Amino acid sequence: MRRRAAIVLLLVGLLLALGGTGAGQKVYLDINAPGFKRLPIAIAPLVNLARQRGGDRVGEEIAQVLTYDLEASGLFKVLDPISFIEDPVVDARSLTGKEYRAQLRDVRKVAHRMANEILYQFTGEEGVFETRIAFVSTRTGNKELFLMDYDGFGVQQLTSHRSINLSPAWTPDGRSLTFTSFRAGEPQLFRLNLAAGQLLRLSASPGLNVGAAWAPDGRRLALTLSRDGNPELYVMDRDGGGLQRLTRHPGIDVSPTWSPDGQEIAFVSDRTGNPQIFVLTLRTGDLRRLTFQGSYNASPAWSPRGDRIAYACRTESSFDICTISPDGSNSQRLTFAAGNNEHPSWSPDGRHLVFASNRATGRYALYRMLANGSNLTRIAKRGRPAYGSEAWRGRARIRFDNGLAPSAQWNAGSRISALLSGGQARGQHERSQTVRRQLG
Amino acid sequence: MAAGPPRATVARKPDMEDIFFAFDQYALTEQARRALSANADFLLKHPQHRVLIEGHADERGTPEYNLALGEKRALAAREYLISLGIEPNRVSTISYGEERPLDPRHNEEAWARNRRDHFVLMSR
Repeated sequence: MRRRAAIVLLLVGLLLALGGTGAGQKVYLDINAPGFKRLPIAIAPLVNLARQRGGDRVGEEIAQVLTYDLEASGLFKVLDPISFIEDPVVDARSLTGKEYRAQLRDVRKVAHRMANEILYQFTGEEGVFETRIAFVSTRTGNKELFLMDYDGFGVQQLTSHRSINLSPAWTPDGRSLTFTSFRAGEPQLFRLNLAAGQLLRLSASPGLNVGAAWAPDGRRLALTLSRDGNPELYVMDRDGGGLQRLTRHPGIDVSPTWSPDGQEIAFVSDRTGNPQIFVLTLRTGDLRRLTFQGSYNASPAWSPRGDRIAYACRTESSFDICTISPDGSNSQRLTFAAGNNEHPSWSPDGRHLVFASNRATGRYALYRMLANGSNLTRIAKRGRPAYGSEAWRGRARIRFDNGLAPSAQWNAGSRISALLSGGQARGQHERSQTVRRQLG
Repeated sequence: MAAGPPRATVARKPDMEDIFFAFDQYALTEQARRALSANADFLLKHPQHRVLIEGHADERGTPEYNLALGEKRALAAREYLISLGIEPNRVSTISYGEERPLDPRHNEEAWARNRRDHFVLMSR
Protein backbone atom coordinates (compact mmCIF):
# COMPACT_ATOMS: atom_id res chain seq x y z
CA MET A 1 0.00 0.00 0.00
CA ARG A 2 2.73 2.49 -0.75
CA ARG A 3 1.22 5.44 -2.47
CA ARG A 4 3.95 7.21 -4.34
CA ALA A 5 1.90 10.32 -4.72
CA ALA A 6 1.49 10.95 -1.05
CA ILE A 7 4.67 12.83 -0.53
CA VAL A 8 4.42 16.08 1.32
CA LEU A 9 6.90 18.79 0.81
CA LEU A 10 6.66 21.60 3.27
CA LEU A 11 8.78 24.39 4.50
CA VAL A 12 8.47 25.77 7.94
CA GLY A 13 9.11 29.28 8.78
CA LEU A 14 8.87 30.61 12.25
CA LEU A 15 8.58 34.14 13.34
CA LEU A 16 9.28 34.87 16.89
CA ALA A 17 9.54 37.78 19.20
CA LEU A 18 12.90 37.60 20.77
CA GLY A 19 14.67 40.69 22.02
CA GLY A 20 18.23 41.56 21.25
CA THR A 21 20.19 38.45 20.39
CA GLY A 22 22.65 39.06 17.65
CA ALA A 23 22.02 37.41 14.34
CA GLY A 24 24.24 34.55 13.34
CA GLN A 25 25.35 33.82 16.85
CA LYS A 26 24.21 30.65 18.56
CA VAL A 27 22.92 31.50 22.00
CA TYR A 28 20.82 28.96 23.85
CA LEU A 29 18.20 30.06 26.29
CA ASP A 30 18.95 29.25 29.88
CA ILE A 31 15.72 27.39 30.47
CA ASN A 32 16.83 26.27 33.90
CA ALA A 33 17.31 29.81 35.17
CA PRO A 34 14.99 30.84 37.98
CA GLY A 35 12.31 33.19 36.74
CA PHE A 36 12.53 31.88 33.20
CA LYS A 37 9.63 33.28 31.23
CA ARG A 38 7.97 31.33 28.47
CA LEU A 39 9.14 32.51 25.11
CA PRO A 40 6.52 33.99 22.81
CA ILE A 41 6.57 32.29 19.45
CA ALA A 42 4.39 32.50 16.39
CA ILE A 43 3.87 29.76 13.89
CA ALA A 44 3.43 31.20 10.48
CA PRO A 45 0.75 29.61 8.32
CA LEU A 46 2.23 26.78 6.34
CA VAL A 47 2.09 27.14 2.62
CA ASN A 48 1.22 24.36 0.27
CA LEU A 49 4.04 25.10 -2.13
CA ALA A 50 3.63 21.95 -4.16
CA ARG A 51 -0.09 22.73 -4.47
CA GLN A 52 -0.91 19.16 -3.61
CA ARG A 53 -4.47 18.08 -3.04
CA GLY A 54 -5.16 18.06 0.68
CA GLY A 55 -2.02 20.02 1.28
CA ASP A 56 -3.79 22.86 3.07
CA ARG A 57 -5.34 20.49 5.56
CA VAL A 58 -1.92 18.97 6.17
CA GLY A 59 -0.54 22.42 6.85
CA GLU A 60 -3.23 23.08 9.41
CA GLU A 61 -2.59 19.78 11.12
CA ILE A 62 1.12 20.48 11.32
CA ALA A 63 0.46 23.88 12.83
CA GLN A 64 -1.84 22.28 15.41
CA VAL A 65 0.72 19.68 16.41
CA LEU A 66 3.48 22.28 16.58
CA THR A 67 1.34 24.46 18.81
CA TYR A 68 0.49 21.54 21.10
CA ASP A 69 4.10 20.42 21.36
CA LEU A 70 5.60 23.84 21.99
CA GLU A 71 2.99 24.62 24.64
CA ALA A 72 3.54 21.21 26.23
CA SER A 73 7.24 21.93 26.58
CA GLY A 74 6.42 24.68 29.04
CA LEU A 75 9.11 26.79 27.37
CA PHE A 76 7.06 28.56 24.73
CA LYS A 77 3.96 30.65 24.61
CA VAL A 78 2.45 30.13 21.21
CA LEU A 79 0.85 33.36 19.99
CA ASP A 80 -2.56 33.43 18.44
CA PRO A 81 -1.95 33.57 14.67
CA ILE A 82 -4.54 36.33 14.26
CA SER A 83 -2.89 38.71 16.68
CA PHE A 84 0.45 37.90 15.20
CA ILE A 85 -0.64 38.88 11.70
CA GLU A 86 -2.36 42.07 12.81
CA ASP A 87 0.39 43.13 15.12
CA PRO A 88 3.81 42.41 13.68
CA VAL A 89 6.34 41.13 16.13
CA VAL A 90 9.29 43.20 17.18
CA ASP A 91 12.16 41.02 16.16
CA ALA A 92 11.03 38.72 13.45
CA ARG A 93 13.57 36.35 12.13
CA SER A 94 13.46 33.01 10.60
CA LEU A 95 14.68 30.28 12.87
CA THR A 96 15.40 27.39 10.63
CA GLY A 97 14.45 25.98 7.33
CA LYS A 98 14.16 22.33 6.66
CA GLU A 99 12.62 20.15 4.10
CA TYR A 100 10.62 17.21 5.36
CA ARG A 101 9.50 14.41 3.15
CA ALA A 102 7.14 11.74 4.35
CA GLN A 103 3.99 9.85 3.58
CA LEU A 104 0.79 11.71 4.32
CA ARG A 105 -0.09 9.32 7.11
CA ASP A 106 3.08 10.39 8.90
CA VAL A 107 2.14 14.04 9.04
CA ARG A 108 2.03 14.05 12.85
CA LYS A 109 5.48 12.51 13.02
CA VAL A 110 6.83 15.18 10.72
CA ALA A 111 5.27 17.89 12.86
CA HIS A 112 6.68 16.37 16.04
CA ARG A 113 10.11 16.29 14.44
CA MET A 114 9.77 19.95 13.47
CA ALA A 115 8.87 20.76 17.07
CA ASN A 116 11.93 18.89 18.29
CA GLU A 117 14.03 20.88 15.84
CA ILE A 118 12.61 24.16 17.10
CA LEU A 119 13.21 23.18 20.72
CA TYR A 120 16.74 22.18 19.89
CA GLN A 121 17.42 25.47 18.12
CA PHE A 122 16.53 27.35 21.27
CA THR A 123 17.73 25.12 24.04
CA GLY A 124 20.28 22.71 22.65
CA GLU A 125 18.19 19.90 24.15
CA GLU A 126 16.43 16.96 22.60
CA GLY A 127 12.68 17.31 22.91
CA VAL A 128 10.24 14.56 23.78
CA PHE A 129 7.82 15.12 20.93
CA GLU A 130 8.79 11.95 19.08
CA THR A 131 8.84 9.76 22.16
CA ARG A 132 6.30 7.11 22.98
CA ILE A 133 4.76 5.83 26.16
CA ALA A 134 4.12 2.20 26.98
CA PHE A 135 1.23 1.56 29.31
CA VAL A 136 -1.13 -1.05 30.68
CA SER A 137 -4.81 -0.72 29.90
CA THR A 138 -7.89 -2.72 30.80
CA ARG A 139 -9.85 -1.45 27.81
CA THR A 140 -10.14 -4.95 26.36
CA GLY A 141 -11.23 -6.44 29.67
CA ASN A 142 -7.74 -7.76 30.41
CA LYS A 143 -4.58 -5.98 31.37
CA GLU A 144 -2.74 -5.68 28.07
CA LEU A 145 0.25 -3.61 27.00
CA PHE A 146 -0.20 -0.62 24.71
CA LEU A 147 1.96 2.03 23.11
CA MET A 148 1.10 5.59 22.27
CA ASP A 149 2.80 8.78 21.20
CA TYR A 150 3.64 11.15 24.02
CA ASP A 151 0.53 13.19 23.18
CA GLY A 152 -1.86 10.23 23.34
CA PHE A 153 -2.18 9.72 19.59
CA GLY A 154 -1.23 6.58 17.72
CA VAL A 155 -2.39 4.06 20.30
CA GLN A 156 -1.20 0.56 19.45
CA GLN A 157 -2.06 -2.66 21.28
CA LEU A 158 1.06 -4.75 21.89
CA THR A 159 -0.24 -7.85 23.63
CA SER A 160 -3.38 -9.94 23.31
CA HIS A 161 -2.58 -12.51 25.97
CA ARG A 162 -5.95 -12.37 27.76
CA SER A 163 -3.98 -12.56 30.92
CA ILE A 164 -2.48 -10.05 33.34
CA ASN A 165 0.40 -7.94 32.07
CA LEU A 166 2.14 -5.48 34.38
CA SER A 167 4.99 -3.02 34.82
CA PRO A 168 6.31 -2.35 31.31
CA ALA A 169 9.91 -1.12 31.23
CA TRP A 170 11.84 0.00 28.16
CA THR A 171 15.23 -1.38 27.42
CA PRO A 172 17.53 1.66 27.14
CA ASP A 173 17.91 1.18 23.38
CA GLY A 174 14.16 1.63 22.98
CA ARG A 175 13.84 -1.58 20.99
CA SER A 176 12.03 -3.73 23.46
CA LEU A 177 9.92 -3.78 26.57
CA THR A 178 10.12 -6.06 29.54
CA PHE A 179 7.03 -6.74 31.62
CA THR A 180 5.55 -9.21 34.05
CA SER A 181 2.90 -11.52 32.65
CA PHE A 182 0.71 -14.26 34.09
CA ARG A 183 0.26 -15.79 30.64
CA ALA A 184 1.94 -19.03 31.75
CA GLY A 185 0.02 -19.01 35.03
CA GLU A 186 2.65 -17.45 37.25
CA PRO A 187 4.10 -13.93 37.32
CA GLN A 188 7.10 -14.28 35.02
CA LEU A 189 9.24 -11.71 33.25
CA PHE A 190 9.04 -11.40 29.46
CA ARG A 191 10.81 -9.34 26.88
CA LEU A 192 8.99 -8.16 23.79
CA ASN A 193 11.07 -7.08 20.81
CA LEU A 194 8.96 -4.40 19.16
CA ALA A 195 10.26 -4.56 15.61
CA ALA A 196 10.13 -8.35 15.38
CA GLY A 197 7.15 -8.82 17.68
CA GLN A 198 9.16 -11.59 19.29
CA LEU A 199 8.33 -12.56 22.87
CA LEU A 200 11.04 -14.06 25.05
CA ARG A 201 10.78 -15.42 28.58
CA LEU A 202 13.54 -13.70 30.52
CA SER A 203 13.01 -14.81 34.09
CA ALA A 204 10.85 -17.63 35.40
CA SER A 205 12.08 -18.27 38.92
CA PRO A 206 9.53 -19.91 41.24
CA GLY A 207 7.32 -17.20 42.74
CA LEU A 208 7.49 -13.53 41.82
CA ASN A 209 9.38 -12.16 38.80
CA VAL A 210 8.29 -8.53 38.91
CA GLY A 211 9.21 -4.88 38.63
CA ALA A 212 12.14 -5.12 36.27
CA ALA A 213 14.17 -1.96 35.67
CA TRP A 214 17.04 -1.74 33.20
CA ALA A 215 20.37 -0.27 34.15
CA PRO A 216 21.11 2.81 32.04
CA ASP A 217 23.83 0.93 30.15
CA GLY A 218 21.32 -1.76 29.15
CA ARG A 219 23.58 -4.59 30.28
CA ARG A 220 21.78 -5.50 33.48
CA LEU A 221 18.37 -5.29 35.02
CA ALA A 222 17.14 -5.17 38.58
CA LEU A 223 13.95 -6.95 39.63
CA THR A 224 12.15 -8.61 42.52
CA LEU A 225 12.21 -12.40 42.86
CA SER A 226 10.83 -14.52 45.68
CA ARG A 227 12.81 -17.63 44.70
CA ASP A 228 14.60 -17.69 48.04
CA GLY A 229 11.36 -17.57 50.01
CA ASN A 230 10.86 -13.82 50.27
CA PRO A 231 10.45 -10.88 47.85
CA GLU A 232 14.01 -9.59 47.46
CA LEU A 233 15.86 -7.43 44.94
CA TYR A 234 18.23 -9.06 42.47
CA VAL A 235 20.30 -7.97 39.52
CA MET A 236 20.69 -10.13 36.43
CA ASP A 237 22.40 -9.89 33.06
CA ARG A 238 20.34 -8.85 30.08
CA ASP A 239 19.96 -12.47 28.97
CA GLY A 240 18.70 -13.59 32.39
CA GLY A 241 21.98 -15.07 33.64
CA GLY A 242 24.45 -13.89 36.29
CA LEU A 243 21.90 -13.57 39.07
CA GLN A 244 23.03 -11.54 42.06
CA ARG A 245 21.01 -10.93 45.20
CA LEU A 246 20.96 -7.34 46.51
CA THR A 247 18.75 -7.36 49.61
CA ARG A 248 18.51 -9.65 52.64
CA HIS A 249 15.60 -8.69 54.80
CA PRO A 250 12.44 -10.59 55.77
CA GLY A 251 10.23 -7.71 54.56
CA ILE A 252 9.15 -6.69 51.07
CA ASP A 253 11.64 -5.17 48.62
CA VAL A 254 10.19 -4.09 45.25
CA SER A 255 10.13 -1.51 42.44
CA PRO A 256 13.82 -0.78 41.75
CA THR A 257 14.81 2.29 39.71
CA TRP A 258 18.40 3.10 38.70
CA SER A 259 20.24 6.36 39.10
CA PRO A 260 21.35 7.64 35.68
CA ASP A 261 25.00 6.84 36.51
CA GLY A 262 24.05 3.24 37.34
CA GLN A 263 25.66 3.46 40.78
CA GLU A 264 22.55 3.46 42.93
CA ILE A 265 19.12 1.86 43.03
CA ALA A 266 16.10 3.38 44.72
CA PHE A 267 13.37 0.92 45.71
CA VAL A 268 10.41 0.33 48.01
CA SER A 269 10.77 -1.59 51.24
CA ASP A 270 8.46 -2.16 54.19
CA ARG A 271 11.39 -2.98 56.49
CA THR A 272 10.50 -0.09 58.77
CA GLY A 273 6.87 -1.15 59.07
CA ASN A 274 5.27 0.32 55.98
CA PRO A 275 6.30 1.02 52.39
CA GLN A 276 9.04 3.66 52.20
CA ILE A 277 11.67 4.47 49.61
CA PHE A 278 15.29 3.53 50.18
CA VAL A 279 18.45 4.02 48.16
CA LEU A 280 21.08 1.31 47.83
CA THR A 281 24.63 2.16 46.73
CA LEU A 282 25.66 -0.85 44.69
CA ARG A 283 29.42 -0.76 45.18
CA THR A 284 29.37 -0.35 48.94
CA GLY A 285 26.03 -1.91 49.85
CA ASP A 286 25.18 1.23 51.84
CA LEU A 287 21.48 1.70 52.36
CA ARG A 288 19.74 4.94 53.23
CA ARG A 289 16.09 5.70 53.85
CA LEU A 290 14.79 8.45 51.59
CA THR A 291 11.19 9.10 52.62
CA PHE A 292 9.94 9.75 56.13
CA GLN A 293 6.63 11.53 55.60
CA GLY A 294 3.45 9.47 55.39
CA SER A 295 2.79 5.77 55.76
CA TYR A 296 2.89 4.69 52.13
CA ASN A 297 5.47 5.85 49.58
CA ALA A 298 5.93 3.70 46.50
CA SER A 299 6.80 3.33 42.79
CA PRO A 300 9.93 5.49 42.71
CA ALA A 301 11.23 6.76 39.36
CA TRP A 302 14.68 8.32 39.17
CA SER A 303 14.83 11.29 36.82
CA PRO A 304 17.16 10.86 33.82
CA ARG A 305 18.66 14.18 34.97
CA GLY A 306 19.53 12.52 38.25
CA ASP A 307 18.35 15.38 40.43
CA ARG A 308 14.90 14.15 41.51
CA ILE A 309 13.11 10.93 42.35
CA ALA A 310 9.38 10.90 41.68
CA TYR A 311 7.08 8.57 43.61
CA ALA A 312 3.51 7.99 44.70
CA CYS A 313 2.96 9.39 48.18
CA ARG A 314 -0.10 8.56 50.24
CA THR A 315 -1.65 11.66 51.75
CA GLU A 316 -4.72 11.25 53.93
CA SER A 317 -6.59 8.54 52.05
CA SER A 318 -5.44 9.08 48.49
CA PHE A 319 -2.22 8.95 46.51
CA ASP A 320 -0.41 11.92 45.04
CA ILE A 321 2.74 12.41 43.01
CA CYS A 322 5.71 13.67 45.00
CA THR A 323 9.35 14.25 44.14
CA ILE A 324 12.41 14.32 46.37
CA SER A 325 16.15 14.89 45.95
CA PRO A 326 18.26 11.73 45.99
CA ASP A 327 19.82 12.94 49.24
CA GLY A 328 16.39 12.99 50.87
CA SER A 329 16.04 16.76 50.97
CA ASN A 330 13.46 19.07 49.48
CA SER A 331 10.46 16.78 49.03
CA GLN A 332 7.60 18.30 47.05
CA ARG A 333 4.04 17.25 46.46
CA LEU A 334 2.93 17.93 42.88
CA THR A 335 -0.74 16.90 42.84
CA PHE A 336 -3.44 18.00 45.23
CA ALA A 337 -6.86 16.75 46.23
CA ALA A 338 -7.78 15.15 42.94
CA GLY A 339 -8.37 11.42 43.25
CA ASN A 340 -5.50 8.97 43.22
CA ASN A 341 -2.32 9.81 41.34
CA GLU A 342 0.12 6.95 40.85
CA HIS A 343 2.90 5.37 38.81
CA PRO A 344 5.00 8.40 37.86
CA SER A 345 7.38 7.91 34.93
CA TRP A 346 9.85 10.48 33.58
CA SER A 347 10.23 11.63 30.02
CA PRO A 348 13.69 10.95 28.58
CA ASP A 349 14.63 14.61 29.03
CA GLY A 350 13.54 14.61 32.67
CA ARG A 351 11.26 17.61 32.11
CA HIS A 352 7.91 15.80 32.11
CA LEU A 353 6.17 13.20 34.22
CA VAL A 354 3.43 10.89 33.07
CA PHE A 355 1.21 9.22 35.66
CA ALA A 356 -2.12 7.47 36.14
CA SER A 357 -4.94 9.29 37.87
CA ASN A 358 -8.62 8.60 38.49
CA ARG A 359 -9.35 12.26 39.22
CA ALA A 360 -11.80 12.90 36.43
CA THR A 361 -14.18 9.98 36.37
CA GLY A 362 -13.08 7.57 39.06
CA ARG A 363 -11.50 5.45 36.35
CA TYR A 364 -7.82 5.70 35.65
CA ALA A 365 -6.44 7.71 32.76
CA LEU A 366 -2.96 8.92 31.92
CA TYR A 367 -1.83 12.47 32.57
CA ARG A 368 1.29 14.41 31.81
CA MET A 369 2.77 17.37 33.64
CA LEU A 370 6.02 19.27 33.91
CA ALA A 371 8.49 18.23 36.57
CA ASN A 372 7.27 21.04 38.84
CA GLY A 373 3.63 19.93 38.56
CA SER A 374 2.48 22.62 36.11
CA ASN A 375 0.99 22.15 32.64
CA LEU A 376 -1.17 19.20 33.69
CA THR A 377 -2.79 17.53 30.68
CA ARG A 378 -4.82 14.39 30.23
CA ILE A 379 -3.28 12.42 27.39
CA ALA A 380 -5.20 9.18 27.08
CA LYS A 381 -8.21 9.60 24.86
CA ARG A 382 -11.54 10.30 26.39
CA GLY A 383 -13.73 7.29 27.02
CA ARG A 384 -10.86 4.88 26.75
CA PRO A 385 -9.27 5.17 30.11
CA ALA A 386 -5.84 3.77 30.52
CA TYR A 387 -4.82 2.14 33.69
CA GLY A 388 -1.71 1.05 35.35
CA SER A 389 1.96 1.47 35.19
CA GLU A 390 3.56 3.23 32.31
CA ALA A 391 7.05 3.73 31.12
CA TRP A 392 8.34 6.56 29.03
CA ARG A 393 10.58 5.57 26.25
CA GLY A 394 13.95 6.97 25.34
CA ARG A 395 13.51 7.99 21.73
CA ALA A 396 11.09 6.97 19.12
CA ARG A 397 12.89 5.62 16.11
CA ILE A 398 10.57 6.53 13.38
CA ARG A 399 11.19 5.09 9.97
CA PHE A 400 10.21 7.33 7.15
CA ASP A 401 9.59 5.73 3.82
CA ASN A 402 12.49 7.56 2.25
CA GLY A 403 14.85 6.43 4.97
CA LEU A 404 15.16 9.74 6.81
CA ALA A 405 17.37 9.19 9.82
CA PRO A 406 16.55 10.22 13.38
CA SER A 407 17.38 13.80 14.04
CA ALA A 408 19.92 13.46 16.79
CA GLN A 409 22.74 15.21 14.98
CA TRP A 410 20.58 17.14 12.70
CA ASN A 411 21.38 20.64 13.67
CA ALA A 412 24.96 21.18 12.76
CA GLY A 413 25.17 23.35 9.71
CA SER A 414 21.49 23.95 9.26
CA ARG A 415 20.73 27.32 7.78
CA ILE A 416 17.90 29.69 7.45
CA SER A 417 16.29 28.69 4.25
CA ALA A 418 12.79 29.93 4.11
CA LEU A 419 10.65 32.48 5.73
CA LEU A 420 6.98 32.15 5.20
CA SER A 421 4.58 34.71 6.42
CA GLY A 422 1.02 35.71 5.77
CA GLY A 423 0.63 33.04 3.17
CA GLN A 424 3.49 34.30 1.02
CA ALA A 425 6.93 32.97 0.65
CA ARG A 426 9.41 35.72 1.43
CA GLY A 427 12.64 33.84 1.54
CA GLN A 428 14.85 31.78 -0.61
CA HIS A 429 14.80 28.08 -0.26
CA GLU A 430 18.28 26.97 0.48
CA ARG A 431 19.07 23.49 1.64
CA SER A 432 22.05 23.09 3.88
CA GLN A 433 24.63 20.42 3.28
CA THR A 434 23.51 18.56 6.34
CA VAL A 435 19.94 18.38 5.27
CA ARG A 436 20.88 17.45 1.76
CA ARG A 437 22.87 14.55 3.09
CA GLN A 438 20.06 13.42 5.32
CA LEU A 439 17.62 13.45 2.50
CA GLY A 440 19.95 11.57 0.22
CA MET B 1 -9.88 -13.74 32.93
CA ALA B 2 -6.34 -14.61 33.66
CA ALA B 3 -4.96 -18.01 32.88
CA GLY B 4 -5.32 -20.35 35.82
CA PRO B 5 -2.61 -22.28 37.57
CA PRO B 6 -0.87 -24.83 35.38
CA ARG B 7 -2.41 -27.88 37.09
CA ALA B 8 -6.09 -28.70 36.77
CA THR B 9 -8.24 -27.69 39.67
CA VAL B 10 -10.03 -30.66 41.17
CA ALA B 11 -12.36 -28.87 43.47
CA ARG B 12 -13.03 -25.43 44.77
CA LYS B 13 -14.71 -26.59 47.93
CA PRO B 14 -15.50 -24.66 51.03
CA ASP B 15 -13.44 -27.36 52.76
CA MET B 16 -10.66 -24.85 52.90
CA GLU B 17 -11.61 -21.55 54.47
CA ASP B 18 -10.24 -18.20 53.22
CA ILE B 19 -8.21 -16.14 55.63
CA PHE B 20 -8.14 -12.33 55.80
CA PHE B 21 -5.59 -9.61 56.57
CA ALA B 22 -5.44 -6.01 57.75
CA PHE B 23 -4.41 -3.26 55.31
CA ASP B 24 -0.75 -3.55 54.29
CA GLN B 25 -0.27 -6.48 56.70
CA TYR B 26 0.74 -10.10 56.24
CA ALA B 27 0.74 -11.13 59.90
CA LEU B 28 -1.78 -13.90 60.60
CA THR B 29 -4.76 -12.78 62.67
CA GLU B 30 -6.63 -14.95 65.20
CA GLN B 31 -9.24 -15.69 62.53
CA ALA B 32 -6.48 -16.71 60.16
CA ARG B 33 -4.86 -19.07 62.65
CA ARG B 34 -8.17 -20.72 63.50
CA ALA B 35 -9.05 -21.17 59.84
CA LEU B 36 -5.57 -22.47 59.03
CA SER B 37 -5.85 -25.07 61.80
CA ALA B 38 -9.11 -26.31 60.29
CA ASN B 39 -7.53 -26.26 56.82
CA ALA B 40 -4.57 -28.24 58.13
CA ASP B 41 -6.95 -30.82 59.67
CA PHE B 42 -8.66 -31.21 56.32
CA LEU B 43 -5.35 -31.75 54.54
CA LEU B 44 -4.25 -34.30 57.17
CA LYS B 45 -7.49 -36.24 56.60
CA HIS B 46 -7.24 -36.02 52.83
CA PRO B 47 -3.71 -37.03 51.88
CA GLN B 48 -4.74 -37.31 48.22
CA HIS B 49 -4.95 -33.51 48.00
CA ARG B 50 -2.40 -30.80 47.80
CA VAL B 51 -3.19 -27.13 48.08
CA LEU B 52 -2.34 -23.96 46.17
CA ILE B 53 -2.51 -20.85 48.31
CA GLU B 54 -3.46 -17.73 46.38
CA GLY B 55 -2.37 -14.49 48.06
CA HIS B 56 -4.40 -11.38 47.29
CA ALA B 57 -4.33 -7.67 48.13
CA ASP B 58 -6.87 -4.89 47.90
CA GLU B 59 -6.63 -2.37 45.08
CA ARG B 60 -4.95 0.38 47.06
CA GLY B 61 -1.22 0.85 46.55
CA THR B 62 0.94 -0.17 43.64
CA PRO B 63 0.49 -3.40 41.67
CA GLU B 64 4.11 -4.36 42.30
CA TYR B 65 3.99 -3.83 46.03
CA ASN B 66 0.66 -5.63 46.15
CA LEU B 67 2.08 -8.62 44.31
CA ALA B 68 4.77 -8.83 46.97
CA LEU B 69 2.16 -8.35 49.68
CA GLY B 70 0.05 -11.20 48.27
CA GLU B 71 3.17 -13.33 48.10
CA LYS B 72 3.97 -12.60 51.75
CA ARG B 73 0.39 -13.46 52.73
CA ALA B 74 0.50 -16.76 50.86
CA LEU B 75 3.93 -17.60 52.28
CA ALA B 76 2.76 -16.81 55.83
CA ALA B 77 -0.11 -19.28 55.48
CA ARG B 78 2.15 -21.89 53.94
CA GLU B 79 4.60 -21.62 56.79
CA TYR B 80 1.82 -21.97 59.32
CA LEU B 81 0.38 -25.05 57.60
CA ILE B 82 3.85 -26.62 57.59
CA SER B 83 4.21 -25.84 61.29
CA LEU B 84 0.96 -27.79 61.79
CA GLY B 85 2.44 -30.86 60.19
CA ILE B 86 1.62 -30.51 56.50
CA GLU B 87 4.40 -31.70 54.22
CA PRO B 88 6.03 -28.73 52.44
CA ASN B 89 5.69 -30.35 49.03
CA ARG B 90 1.88 -30.38 49.40
CA VAL B 91 1.66 -26.60 49.74
CA SER B 92 2.45 -24.24 46.88
CA THR B 93 1.79 -20.52 46.59
CA ILE B 94 0.99 -17.89 43.99
CA SER B 95 0.36 -14.18 44.38
CA TYR B 96 -2.22 -12.33 42.32
CA GLY B 97 -1.64 -9.06 44.13
CA GLU B 98 -4.56 -6.74 43.48
CA GLU B 99 -5.33 -8.31 40.11
CA ARG B 100 -8.15 -10.70 41.04
CA PRO B 101 -10.47 -9.04 43.55
CA LEU B 102 -13.25 -11.11 45.05
CA ASP B 103 -15.36 -7.97 45.38
CA PRO B 104 -14.92 -5.40 42.61
CA ARG B 105 -16.32 -2.47 44.57
CA HIS B 106 -14.14 0.37 45.83
CA ASN B 107 -14.99 0.60 49.52
CA GLU B 108 -13.79 -0.62 52.90
CA GLU B 109 -16.04 -3.67 52.86
CA ALA B 110 -14.80 -4.80 49.48
CA TRP B 111 -11.17 -4.10 50.37
CA ALA B 112 -11.49 -6.20 53.56
CA ARG B 113 -12.85 -9.13 51.53
CA ASN B 114 -10.09 -8.79 48.95
CA ARG B 115 -7.16 -8.89 51.38
CA ARG B 116 -7.17 -12.66 51.58
CA ASP B 117 -5.56 -16.01 51.05
CA HIS B 118 -7.66 -18.40 49.03
CA PHE B 119 -6.98 -22.14 49.11
CA VAL B 120 -7.36 -24.23 45.98
CA LEU B 121 -7.35 -27.99 46.42
CA MET B 122 -5.61 -30.01 43.77
CA SER B 123 -4.96 -33.69 43.23
CA ARG B 124 -1.52 -34.92 44.17
